[in-house]
Amino acid sequence: MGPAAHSAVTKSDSAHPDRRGTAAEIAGADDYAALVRAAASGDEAAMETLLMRAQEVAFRFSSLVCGHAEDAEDVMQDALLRAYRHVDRIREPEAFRGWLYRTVRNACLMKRRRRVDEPRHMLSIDELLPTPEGVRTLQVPDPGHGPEASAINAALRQRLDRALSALPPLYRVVVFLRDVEGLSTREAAHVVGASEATVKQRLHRGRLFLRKALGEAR
Amino acid sequence: MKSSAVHTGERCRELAIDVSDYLDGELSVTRAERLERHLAGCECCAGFAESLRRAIATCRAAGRTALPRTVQARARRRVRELLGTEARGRT
Repeated sequence: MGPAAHSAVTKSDSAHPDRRGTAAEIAGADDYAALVRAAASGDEAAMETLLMRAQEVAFRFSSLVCGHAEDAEDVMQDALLRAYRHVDRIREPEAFRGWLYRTVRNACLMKRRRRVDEPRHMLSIDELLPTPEGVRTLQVPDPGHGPEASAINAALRQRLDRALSALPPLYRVVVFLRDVEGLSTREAAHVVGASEATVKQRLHRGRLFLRKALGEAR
Repeated sequence: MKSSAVHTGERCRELAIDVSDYLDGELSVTRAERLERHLAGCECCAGFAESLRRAIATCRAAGRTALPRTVQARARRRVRELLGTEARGRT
């Protein structure tokens, strides 16, 4: 692989179902900022889109990071109201996305009444590094369209759910923010209240663990 | 041409930490070139990097599914109720 790594990732990005409109829309910080500006100026459609996104983030965070889908509706309601109140007050629309994820994270924490990102145990890096006999190649099918694609998506999602739930919370939240939600290292650091270097380290360890968990799930 | 030798020694361990940054495009040019040279000659690390890339791809492909239909309907209803209530409050 080597030099192909960047192009391979780019290729995967282009095959992302989000880009084809079959899943939740990827929204960058700039997309959120544009929506916030429009909503604050009275654009109701923009406000509705923004509030739906806030609830979608809350749902995914609840189910994938906190692992308690039964809390999702409460966290969604909380995100909806907080986002609605925040739109008129925010001075930097570009900061809205980071604010939203931090708010949702805090709501989840409050809901569970304990810190979700306290590690149950620290991973040994030795457990996760490559070994001569341990290299596995994961198959990530192109989800495509139609009922067959839905079944593949559902199967992939189940594997991901299991793998993420097996991840220590400290790493799970960072993997979620960076690899599922597409936040930058800087944004993720803001959300979890850690340095960028710490986020990078957690992300790498989380990915090592995820790789192993996904491989074992085959 | 890749060496068939597999080595998981200190060099591999030292470079493994760079793989995530490399896949994210956040590694400096110097370190990226060093890693690429290593990956070109180490099947074990190349396979490791590929499997890490696929794990990330799985997150991206499977993690951001749309809301379940019933959940989405409730979310939409909450938004419209909130906006309707606020609109009535302003008039």
